[in-house]
Amino acid sequence: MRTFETAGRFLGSLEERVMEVLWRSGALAVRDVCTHLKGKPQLAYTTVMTTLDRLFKKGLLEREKDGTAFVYRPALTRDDYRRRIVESTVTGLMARSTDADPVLAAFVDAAAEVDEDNLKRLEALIAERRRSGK
Amino acid sequence: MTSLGALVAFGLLFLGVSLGLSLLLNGLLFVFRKTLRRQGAWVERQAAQAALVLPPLLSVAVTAVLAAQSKLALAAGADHCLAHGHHLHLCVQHNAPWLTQPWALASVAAAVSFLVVRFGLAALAHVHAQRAATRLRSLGAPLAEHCYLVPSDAQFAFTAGLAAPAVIISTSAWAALTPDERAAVLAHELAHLEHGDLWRRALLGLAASLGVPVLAARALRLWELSSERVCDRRAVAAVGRPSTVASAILALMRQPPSALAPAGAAFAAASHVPERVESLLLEEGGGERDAHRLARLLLAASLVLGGVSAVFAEPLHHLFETLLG
Repeated sequence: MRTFETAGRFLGSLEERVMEVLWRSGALAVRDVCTHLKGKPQLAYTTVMTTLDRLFKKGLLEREKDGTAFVYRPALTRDDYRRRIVESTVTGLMARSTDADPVLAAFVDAAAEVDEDNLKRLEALIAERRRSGK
Repeated sequence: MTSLGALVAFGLLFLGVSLGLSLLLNGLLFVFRKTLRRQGAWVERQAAQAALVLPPLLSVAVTAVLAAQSKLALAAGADHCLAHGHHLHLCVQHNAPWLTQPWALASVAAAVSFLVVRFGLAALAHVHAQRAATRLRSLGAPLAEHCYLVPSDAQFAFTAGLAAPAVIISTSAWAALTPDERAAVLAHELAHLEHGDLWRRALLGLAASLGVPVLAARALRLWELSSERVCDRRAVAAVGRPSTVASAILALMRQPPSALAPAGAAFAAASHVPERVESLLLEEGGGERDAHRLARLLLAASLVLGGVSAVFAEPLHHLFETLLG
């Protein structure tokens, strides 16, 4: 099964346009998606059908038979899509960043496990400072 | 025309001088670590930077001086090589026979290949990081210049991208912070951006490849920690209270570890947190002026060293020939 990470990394411009149409309209058959896609030249039915099939295989669309044709609907909302793209991008970024060659400067280490006693000691220090108005 | 053997000889000279200076400067960094700590984050950062950058830079200078000396001596008709066939020649025209032996060439080729692969992989990682930063920027809502809020349940706040750096903060991290803490995080990350820390760290990583391995890695860690402390001081200047910056650090450390990142991927490792918070709360001075003074001192010392090697090029030349051969 394809992961969303794959989808996030390889979504092309036509795929994004098709997703936008389905997010706006909900469930649509291939012909209806063709009608909603604006721009010239008009896209071929088979091109749109292939794109929808690809998005289905990437896990971004669900589909069900309606007579002889498939009706497609988004498998996730636009916000969920953006959220997952962000997370897949950050995962890729972190994976590339190594101890020898860090490619980002983080405020704190996102993967760090913290010694609870140490945290409590530091929190007590902060509270003490705040009491003294600093 | 420069012979292959001469290139090998001068290459060995460059590596030898670089490693020797790295040993010396990193040794001093270790010996004076407590004094440097007392002087503040800026001074520590400057000293660590110098221990990493000066060895290869000064080594280039010394190698260039000796190569020039050899060339000038030949031009003046003073070919000293015939006088001592018993050891290695640092000469742009002649060389000792062993330098063109397969083992010598293979050793130099291996060293050069290592550096090329090392630099190539680092460059690729940064190209990828820039693409990721650009994508995250396009998916985020602008918070301030160069700062973007991106939707995510994971908690993160970082600066990424060499060519067009961006500060990226997740909605989840944003929600976990008070307004003052948010300002502190933005000020800290913008300080990284303003100081060009990602560029500096990339170049220091490459410079460290030409230093003594364990010592150079230690200097890099010191530079990273002191850079975090310098940016923490900038955040204090922005929000007014050290405790606000410290509580922002702890607020994000309090969150469950993110599944997105392997430990140590960024240069703000967990082990830095207690030192950063304690440094903030003890209100240690930043020592920016002292750091500038140290930089001027190091520049002067480097110029003196360059001048001395130019003035004493002839005896230095023979000294290195003897040491190498």
